[in-house]
Amino acid sequence: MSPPPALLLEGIVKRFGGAYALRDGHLRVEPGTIHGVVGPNGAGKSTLLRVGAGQLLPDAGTVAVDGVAVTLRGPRAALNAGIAMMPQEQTVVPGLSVEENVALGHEPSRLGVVRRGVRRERVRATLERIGVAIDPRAPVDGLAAAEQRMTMLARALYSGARVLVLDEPTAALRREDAERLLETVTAARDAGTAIVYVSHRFAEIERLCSAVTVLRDGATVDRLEGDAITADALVRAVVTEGALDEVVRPRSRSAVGGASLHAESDAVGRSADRPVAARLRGVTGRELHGVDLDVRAGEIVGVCGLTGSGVTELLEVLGGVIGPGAGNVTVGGVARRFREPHDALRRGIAFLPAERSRAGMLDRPVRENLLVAGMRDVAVRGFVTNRRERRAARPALEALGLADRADDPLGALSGGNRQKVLLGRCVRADAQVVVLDDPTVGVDVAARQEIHRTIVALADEGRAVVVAASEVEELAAVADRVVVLVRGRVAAELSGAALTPETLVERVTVETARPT
Amino acid sequence: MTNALGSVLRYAVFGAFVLMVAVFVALRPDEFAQISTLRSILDDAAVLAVAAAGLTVILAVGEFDLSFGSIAGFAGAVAVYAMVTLGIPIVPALLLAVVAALLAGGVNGGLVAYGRVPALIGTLAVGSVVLGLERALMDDKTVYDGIPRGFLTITESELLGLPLTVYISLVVVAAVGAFLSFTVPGRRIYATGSGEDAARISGIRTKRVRMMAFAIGALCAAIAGVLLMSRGASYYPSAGVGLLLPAYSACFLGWSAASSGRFHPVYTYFGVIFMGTMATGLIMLQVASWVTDLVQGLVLGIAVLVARSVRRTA
Repeated sequence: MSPPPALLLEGIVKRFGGAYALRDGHLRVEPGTIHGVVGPNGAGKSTLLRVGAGQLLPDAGTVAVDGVAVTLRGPRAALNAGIAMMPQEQTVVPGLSVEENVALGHEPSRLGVVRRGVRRERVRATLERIGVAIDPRAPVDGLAAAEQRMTMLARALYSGARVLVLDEPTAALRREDAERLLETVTAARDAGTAIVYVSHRFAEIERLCSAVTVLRDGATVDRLEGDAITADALVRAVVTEGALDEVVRPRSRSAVGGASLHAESDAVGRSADRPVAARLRGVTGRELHGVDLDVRAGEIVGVCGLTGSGVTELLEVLGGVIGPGAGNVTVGGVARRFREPHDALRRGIAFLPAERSRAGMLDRPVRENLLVAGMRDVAVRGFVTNRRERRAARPALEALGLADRADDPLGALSGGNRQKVLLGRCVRADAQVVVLDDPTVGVDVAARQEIHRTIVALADEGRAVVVAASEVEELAAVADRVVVLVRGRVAAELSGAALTPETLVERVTVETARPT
Repeated sequence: MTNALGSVLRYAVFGAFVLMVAVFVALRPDEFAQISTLRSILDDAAVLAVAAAGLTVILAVGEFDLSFGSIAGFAGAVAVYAMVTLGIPIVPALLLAVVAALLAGGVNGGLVAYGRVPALIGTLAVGSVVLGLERALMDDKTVYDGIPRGFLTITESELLGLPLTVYISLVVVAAVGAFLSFTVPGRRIYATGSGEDAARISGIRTKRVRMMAFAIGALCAAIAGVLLMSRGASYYPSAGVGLLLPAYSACFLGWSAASSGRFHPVYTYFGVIFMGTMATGLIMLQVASWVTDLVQGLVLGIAVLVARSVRRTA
């Protein structure tokens, strides 16, 4: 009889507010293996993993460790059960040495005094086990990004974890650094640790994993094993025809516009004649290394790339959330460098970030969230009343089908409705360029369609739309053309018949793999 | 928590106030249930009400201020110094006091909004500097003589049986309240306070908004400081510092009574009156003075606790 799975999650359900983050999550991780988890963003990967690591309590379903059912109340309980998670963003504690970071929270002590000698030996043993040659006494601040990740990995293992959950451990790493980290991961597996490995880099999954769980729309939909795990199979598993039907196809763009005669080439040709609404030249930043991009009126431009490729930063520069390191944005014939979203809005560029809690004031009424950007038409001689606000908000809210929610706090609305309100804000602000970072993340299918229709309608009104999305199907369906960012540069551009989910995934994978 | 209990608790602070007044009236009918008691409560509350209205704006924008008490004292000192030592007429002297306070408020805002210094530390530093300036200016001496008659009449005058100070405090509370509720900048203050990132992305220049909030706080502190000197008919060192903690108590007590869950000057005023009434009543009951400290602390803690738990379930 085979040993019980190191970690078993069955029928996991998790709701946030009214929305399901996870409807039916399953995960079975065999001991001493690397188990991949793939799926589009918003599929519930993170939620499933956080349930497994004790960060979230599921609403339903069971968690079993080594065949024993457990209730994990908090990360500490999970650690005691032998499960450690290394989140995507988690970083080392600066100012401390490697050994202090590795042993953090688990310092060997006698009468409350840290036994430094014992600690050093244990840390050294842990580092050796995963084949990492770093001096335990070195300060972490001086380490390269990959070595800092390895230190984090050692921390997870130091506490004696037998299951290690890694959420996109290589996302922010350059290729050779990623390679070194992967060797460490393999060494940890060979030392007997079961590893749950989340990544959008399918090549890594293909190489490392002996089994893969596929999630979509909050449910585990497939499990691949052994030779069945190929990059192609993973793309097919993640990009399904079903998902394609859920989104508006590019053909319907012209249908929305009233004429169905436009072929794709016409649409592209048509937009090429339009005036440039915003022109980016030589934009650099933390992740960006010189991006040139023209955005034309009436055009939907998709931006696509892996984590760390600079997609979000590009959108934030355009929206004035962060200033560019170098380069500029030309609007209305004048090259500008926005320092505040206010500057961008004044030039007709509205921005919506991916996290709706960052864009919306959840505890404020819907009407206020809608109107906050520009109150000139609401105020009379500088004075605003709730009644004037309600009157000003009514037409927009009626159009969104939310007329009766004007006084509710934004936080009481579903994710989809929140996003509609925030989109309504951009429309009201009379922006000529609307910049949307992953506008449908965590939104149900119906609201997603409505958001897509809104995006198309914005373009048909002659506005330019720049949109990033973690799901390639969405970009392929909505955008007129998509630029692929790799390591902070435009690496490819796809449009017309060449623009499909498969080609997008392929371009991103190929360009990312290309040596620099 | 059940809905019924929740809706009872929502008005718990008002209920507690009514109950408290009823108890005082029952126990001291001849003393407490007098117009003169109401008059003295309102009069005593006036200076604190003005300072607390300013603090309310700073709390509404999501910041903290430990300096407004010192700024009040500083502004009062500047006014007295200008009138007594420099011989400047009342109105320019008052303007000078306002300018001095606005400068201090501007430094607060600059440090916090633009310098990204944590408000607690930035305003602590400014408060200390301002207190030092006040003491340097006045040489640590109390001043009784030479304060113009006109300056004292600001608080000595009466209208319809109430001191002018009460009207001034009501006007300040109403003006700041209307500003926050009914003007575009006021709404931007609340927007910034409820989510700075969200407000910024909506196109609000949140740094400016926070700067403005500190300026309004300082303006209110200046008015409070001037009233303090006028009421006392003198300058005495570090007079404004005593405003600091009661103003926070009032703001949070008022906040826990506010159905909107926001800081608002009108509710803050209620908080000031609540505490003033309690202090007056307890004195009339002739309880030991430690009882006042104890009860005030308990009431504040419980009120905020209840408001928190009610709003979490809402």
